[in-house]
Amino acid sequence: MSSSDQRLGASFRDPSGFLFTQKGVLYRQINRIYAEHYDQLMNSKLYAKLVYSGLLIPHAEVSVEPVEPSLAYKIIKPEPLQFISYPYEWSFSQLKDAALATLSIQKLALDSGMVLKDASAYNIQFHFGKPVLIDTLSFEIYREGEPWVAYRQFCQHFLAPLALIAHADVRLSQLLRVYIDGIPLDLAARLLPRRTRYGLGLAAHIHMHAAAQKRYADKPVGKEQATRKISKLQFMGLMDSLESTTRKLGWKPSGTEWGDYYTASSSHYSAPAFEHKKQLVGNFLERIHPTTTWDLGANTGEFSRLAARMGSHTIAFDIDPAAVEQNYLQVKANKDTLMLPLLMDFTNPTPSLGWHNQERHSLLERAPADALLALALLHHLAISNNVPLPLLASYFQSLGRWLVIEWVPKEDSQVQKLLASRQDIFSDYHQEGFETAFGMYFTIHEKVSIQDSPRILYLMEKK
Amino acid sequence: MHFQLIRLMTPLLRPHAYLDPGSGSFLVQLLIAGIVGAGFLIKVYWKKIKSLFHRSDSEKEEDSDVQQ
Repeated sequence: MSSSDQRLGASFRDPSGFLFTQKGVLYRQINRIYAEHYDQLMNSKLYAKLVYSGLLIPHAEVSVEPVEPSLAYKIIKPEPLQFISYPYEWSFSQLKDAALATLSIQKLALDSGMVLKDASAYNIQFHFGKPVLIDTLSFEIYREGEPWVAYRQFCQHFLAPLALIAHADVRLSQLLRVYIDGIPLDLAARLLPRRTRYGLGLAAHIHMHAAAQKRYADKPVGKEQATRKISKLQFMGLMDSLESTTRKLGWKPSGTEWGDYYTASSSHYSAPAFEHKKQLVGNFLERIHPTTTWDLGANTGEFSRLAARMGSHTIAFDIDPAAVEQNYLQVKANKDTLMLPLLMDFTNPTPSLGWHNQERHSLLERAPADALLALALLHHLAISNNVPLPLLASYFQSLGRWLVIEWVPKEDSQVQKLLASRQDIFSDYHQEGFETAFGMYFTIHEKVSIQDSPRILYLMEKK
Repeated sequence: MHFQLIRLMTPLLRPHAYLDPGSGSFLVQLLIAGIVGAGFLIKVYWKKIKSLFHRSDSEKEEDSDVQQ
């Protein structure tokens, strides 16, 4: 095989191997350089234990021609994921669960004489509702005395953002979008309130850590320090300390802008209107039976659940971290396997990031979904963000095939609220304008008025 | 002097160990691990002692005899 363009853009840092696709199937080449470590993973039963615990993505060894035969040891085919999401799209508890999963994996690895050689949040994905390590090559043979090579990465990818959300502001999770290798610890230390210097865990792993990085950035290290080693017990102590520091961090969504909005998610509908809307959305979904559904403004996922219950792999996007958090907690409590709540601002959706802009994919690159739900969303984009209706229709067309969309007219109380403090410059925002704009990109199959409400629900299909 | 650190960190520079542990992170880890290591030992033994009492409480004498 000659075409190196099959290698995945994010898979270049670790010389142990890389990901590639062949005829649309994802494979991982394991290089000879990593053979000893891979064999230990498989032979020590660590692989079996991790897969059994749902902490590592299962794979099969396959006989596929390697992309780089001179380096190749084996080719494996990992179980496919439904969707790749990123830490800056996760709620607090999603990031926390990913951190704790990383530490659980580390503990099991130590029992089998191995250790994680990286602790990247990007190596964790939500698979059937639970965090799972997707990088099979993250393990190396543990050698007593050696410190944890991924300690800094764990602190930057997990501890710093979690501490910032818990102690400063939930919006600081978005720093992960700027700093692709995790939040610099000196920045985290500056942004965290003073009181965090006195709690043991954060004082050590963030504040002292940041100070040490600064101190030794361009200074030589003393001979005595340089020859010290870490015993296995000390190593386990360090992991235990990272775990208890992570566990202690908590965030309650009540502080955010829309905190109480969801306690009565149907507050601007009468009870019959809300029930009718649910029934209509359910009917439309029954008709199209989507394999994947993206709910673009899901709140806490009331309507997304209708799709997930039908067996559709559903992503419940919302702009509000409180809603995403509540939704995720519900997913966990219900053990939902087909729902993934994610943070997304559709006025500024996730861009492509990293090296060559190819390491982390934009939302658009992860499209299309089979079906889109755009319920009680249109007015936020068209009026609050001034997006003309034809642009909205064109964008939605690029995201999915089927569209279940709620028309929210100007006389609706929610639109009136949005217009209360500004001039109404939206002369095209009326039902006819909506149908004309969306009719350019979609075929309108059905429209039904929601009982006891001025709103109308449409079922459309991409042209 | 810097050579010493590089020498100690050499095992970390095995070809498959591709992350830079960072010298500051490396040293602070030594320090923290030194401190929490002792605490961890106490914690583990404390848990063992507690579980011993818990077991003998709940499973009565016969089982605690087996334990001892």
